[in-house]
Amino acid sequence: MAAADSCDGISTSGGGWEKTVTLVSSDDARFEVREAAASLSQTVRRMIRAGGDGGIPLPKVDARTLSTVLEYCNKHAAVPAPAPESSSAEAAAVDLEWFDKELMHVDLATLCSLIRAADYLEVAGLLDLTCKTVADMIKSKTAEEIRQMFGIQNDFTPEEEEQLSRENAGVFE
Amino acid sequence: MGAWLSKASPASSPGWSSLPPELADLVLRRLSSLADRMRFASVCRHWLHVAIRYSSPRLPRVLPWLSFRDGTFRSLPDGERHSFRFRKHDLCAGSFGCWMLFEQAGRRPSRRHFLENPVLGTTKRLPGHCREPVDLNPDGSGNTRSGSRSTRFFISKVIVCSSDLIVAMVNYKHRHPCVVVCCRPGMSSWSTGLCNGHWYHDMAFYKGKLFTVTQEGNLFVHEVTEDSDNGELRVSRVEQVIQAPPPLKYTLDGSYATLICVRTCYLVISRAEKLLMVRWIVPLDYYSSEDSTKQMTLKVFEADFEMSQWLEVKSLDDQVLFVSSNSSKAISASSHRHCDYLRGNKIYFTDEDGFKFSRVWPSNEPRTCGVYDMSSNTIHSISLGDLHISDQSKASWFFP
Repeated sequence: MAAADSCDGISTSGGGWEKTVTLVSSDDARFEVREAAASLSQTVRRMIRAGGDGGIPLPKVDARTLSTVLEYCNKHAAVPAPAPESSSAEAAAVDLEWFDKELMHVDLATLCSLIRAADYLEVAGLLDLTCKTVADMIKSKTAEEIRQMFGIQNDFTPEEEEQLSRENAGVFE
Repeated sequence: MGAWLSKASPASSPGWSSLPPELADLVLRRLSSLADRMRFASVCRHWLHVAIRYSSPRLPRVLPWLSFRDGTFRSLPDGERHSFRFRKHDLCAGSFGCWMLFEQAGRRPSRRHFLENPVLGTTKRLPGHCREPVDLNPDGSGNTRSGSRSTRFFISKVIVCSSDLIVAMVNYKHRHPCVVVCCRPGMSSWSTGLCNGHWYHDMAFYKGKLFTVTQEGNLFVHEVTEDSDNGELRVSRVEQVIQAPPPLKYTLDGSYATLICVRTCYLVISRAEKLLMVRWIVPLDYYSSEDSTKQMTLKVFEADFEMSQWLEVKSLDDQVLFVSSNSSKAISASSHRHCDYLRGNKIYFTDEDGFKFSRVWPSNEPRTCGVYDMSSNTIHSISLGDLHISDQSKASWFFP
């Protein structure tokens, strides 16, 4: 993707011009994005309004995470095609659902970065999607299985563990 | 964009155990089952802190459990089984809200009944004696002096209203109307019940007052006062506040007025703090009837205390009602939208008698519980993960 120094325009498939913005990741990678897509991030939207040259700095998001976030934004901000055969809103919703599912096929470290990035960038839909993905992974798993899956250290003392298992007795094994 | 992947540095991402509380909270509130939330809290100190300190006051209510007569539970939405260890010889007499009522056979009266919250492990002793009820005259007057104490009574519903007040619907004799009695925890006797001859189907504690409803839909308020002499609590007055319209006026019963039907009424407090009545009528000859006027009907009404009338509620909107005569609650479907299980405008019911609603199933295959869709007026069975409770196990809702 070409880097741009300021808010420019790129040609769209329809032949018109669409406004774009440049986002700069923590590791100085530059992404040129349609403004409509970037504006799914409330943080970016505010910075666009505030104006400024040289791209929008996002010091809390690395390039790898940002590229996934922008993949989400580009898809979700896509202008619905006016073609009559694909005009069904239901089909579009199913397509988006599939896209979201595919997007969540990432390793857990990436998922963790995505949650933090979605929170920092205030992309509500992505934050919802990532948190739901994590919740679905946790469901019906034991505490030990969850620890192993997410690489979390068990930092309870044996006494605390004993108390927890007493309190949990009956609700689950 | 793929080019950036090569620059990836996953090690730079801080781990899951240090997920900021507000983000861990977003995950936690997407867990609708109590067991999942408790397992979440058992992962590490940070997550425990999130669960009990950060999130807990604002979390959406967990989904209810089905409580079976053998003392076991199944939780929505996954059907996970929960089984608590209770003392031998303790007889579970039903679950009410978050409490289970136990009877210890053969014990001294003072130790006979108690409530236990199986999740928190707390108990409340209930009085083993009950004063004989007093019959009221039709005008509501009567000798309200305390009657003699008896140990022979049966609790059909109990509500823990506050730390200082427990109320119960009790029967003294088989096939006699029940009365409402109250006590403070630790008292040796329930108060005297005032019997006005009405058969109450359900009882609710609403805005600091106690209400009962008959199967026809007559609503009564029971005034609880403190005795100025001895400080004991008692039900001092019973008054009808809303009258079910007479059957022949076709307002509540419509064409059912002249049919022999099974009628059931539940009281539920709505999300908007209104007192609702769910009224279900199933004609006894429903099985064979092709006549559409003899189909079962379920209606929801809202108490209009100013005009002393029931107003029909056509839609519950975002609400889901869980009704059973032991306990009922309204839950917001959107607060559980993440688990994709609840949809608004539905009523989840249980077949507490094992026969009452058996005939409403399309295939005449009795089920323990079901869900009534207010928008389509249809009934479906409840899915509990892979579990199908298709026998006639009696169950009621438990709200952990």
